Amino acid sequence: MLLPALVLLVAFTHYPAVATIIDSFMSTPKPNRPSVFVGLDNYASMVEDPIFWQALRNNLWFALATIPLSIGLALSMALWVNGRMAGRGFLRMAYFTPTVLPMIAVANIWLFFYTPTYGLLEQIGGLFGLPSQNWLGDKATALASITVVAVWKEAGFFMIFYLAALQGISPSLREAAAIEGAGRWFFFRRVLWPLLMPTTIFVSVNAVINAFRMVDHVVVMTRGGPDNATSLLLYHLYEVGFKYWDQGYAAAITVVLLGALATVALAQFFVLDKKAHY
Amino acid sequence: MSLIELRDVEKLWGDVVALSPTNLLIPEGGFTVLLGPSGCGKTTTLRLIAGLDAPSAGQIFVAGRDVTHEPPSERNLAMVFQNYALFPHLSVADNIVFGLQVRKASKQEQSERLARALTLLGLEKLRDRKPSQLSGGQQQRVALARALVAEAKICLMDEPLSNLDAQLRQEMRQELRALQQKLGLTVVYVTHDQAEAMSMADRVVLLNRGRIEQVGSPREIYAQPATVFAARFIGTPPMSVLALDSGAIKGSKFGVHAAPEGATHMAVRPEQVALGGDIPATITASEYLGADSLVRCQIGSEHVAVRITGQQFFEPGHNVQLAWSQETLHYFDSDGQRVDQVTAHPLNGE
Ligand SMILES: Nc1ncnc2c1ncn2[C@@H]1O[C@H](COP(=O)(O)OP(=O)(O)OP(=O)(O)O)[C@@H](O)[C@H]1O
Ligand SMILES: [Mg+2]
Repeated sequence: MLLPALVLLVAFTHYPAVATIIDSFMSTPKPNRPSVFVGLDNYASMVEDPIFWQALRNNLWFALATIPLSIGLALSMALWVNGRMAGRGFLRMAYFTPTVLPMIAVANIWLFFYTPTYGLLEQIGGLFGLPSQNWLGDKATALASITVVAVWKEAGFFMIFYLAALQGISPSLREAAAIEGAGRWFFFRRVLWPLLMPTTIFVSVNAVINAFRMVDHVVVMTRGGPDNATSLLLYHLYEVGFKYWDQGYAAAITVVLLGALATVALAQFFVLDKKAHY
Repeated sequence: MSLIELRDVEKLWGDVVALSPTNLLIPEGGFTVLLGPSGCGKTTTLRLIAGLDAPSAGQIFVAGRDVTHEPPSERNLAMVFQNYALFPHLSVADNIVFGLQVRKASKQEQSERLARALTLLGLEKLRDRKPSQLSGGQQQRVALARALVAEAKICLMDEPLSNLDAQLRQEMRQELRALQQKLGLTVVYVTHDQAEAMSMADRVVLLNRGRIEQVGSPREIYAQPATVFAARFIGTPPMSVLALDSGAIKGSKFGVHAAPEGATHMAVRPEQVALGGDIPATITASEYLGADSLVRCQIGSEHVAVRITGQQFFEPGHNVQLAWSQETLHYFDSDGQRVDQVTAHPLNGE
């Protein structure tokens, strides 16, 4: 009875993972040269690849900014929306939008905001007499610009989890605290935050994974440019694998990426889990 | 002296009148019960006193101070919620000292007061448990301890016993009452259970559809219901209310000559109707209750309940003769208000 499930599991998850690990130790097959075992060669070229290091650095900055910002924003928005009765439906829908929209569409909208000369930001900036700025074309602002898009998209998504959790907290807890004279901040710190901890864990694991998994908006908005300033690990991987067709090297990057992700996610789960109340 | 006063307090939810303009005085040190059927505005009244909702009109005074626009924390009162509202992630001890921590009481004071509250309610062994590891009765005691530890003079309780089983509820009623008297608390207690109200209250405030029907001691309300509603609500079972039609019980020839002027209804308690008299009636149903039986009889188009001893038994359809004495009857006018019998001029019975 277990067999069908096992077959599916192996075919769709285990086999590709194992195949990737094997591929990472093999050379890339060419029409006249079959793939051979090359040991750690692929990993060595990774270490020597400056673009890999740049992508890794970019990705770390990207993660460092998106994770706390999107969670913080999601939580604040959820608290704000949850506290207001009137027009809740409308508000919730407004915040839902980023979730429903595909990342490609989101990226296109923001592309319009950022576009030099015609873009929304330009026009608004122009009203206040600010100098023209090419947000996505300038190495100094490109990474920050795509980070903002990711935060916007992620916050809307995470807010729904927080909102659901907040709706599950009995309003009489707030009233009991109010009678005791607890202010907003005390109530948040002593009651809401601990009760939201399971949601925070779930959301932050997702945030970490997404920070290394999001690539659509890079493809649409900058293609890693200018000068690899917005190249994230997955985008670099995509270029190596599908532009330069270097399968062995791409497999090696994949293994590193997966390994790092799994470690972070597991560590997070176990460390934070201890603090969570269920 | 009255500790809490509602002056022309009204509460509307959109078009719904949850509380019509109401005046109410709640005396200090007493056990006042807000009693009434579901949806009559008991919780609304309590929440207005607590400051969890704001009145649509009128003023609320606590200890002579106008607190209408003050937040709950400024009213110096404690509250036990119907669902207890314990913080699920905090231990029993942390739940109880929550308010003391808000007020930044010293560690020593916290632990002293905590110890006192735990002893008072017999919770010492449970101090490190989480609320989910407690039974309903224990949770209720924690909620009570949390309310008492603040040492507020006023304690509001919204149906605190409704989630408990009959046995435990009985015990907790006595405990609550004893505690209130021991600590000299002013308790405002909400319930829809008239038996609970009668057994605990110093004063009952009977509410119906957002209006006060009657305020009085349990004895007064039992003996002298001020309205038809009060007559039908108080007592287990309550009074039978019979419509009158030109001096006789409706649909029958039996005259009620002593009825005061303007009376359209009369009421009588089941225990004050006896068998063997001159009022012809037909039995429609009979309910065996152990020590006694409740027999429902029809007179004309009206129904009356009769309490008889448990040994007696009657088939439905049986014809009987009933008796009651004039002074046990209550009369009400077409507005449902009590009309007192004119005892100074006794009217001729037959
Ligand atoms: N937040 C609210 N919004 C709209 N209507 C409300 C609200 N709270 C109460 N009501 C209405 O006000 C009336 C009185 O409600 P209340 O909760 O005071 O009743 P209650 O006497 O406590 O009844 P129960 O015994 O069922 O708890 C009801 O008709 C109820 O539907
Ligand atoms: Mg209620």
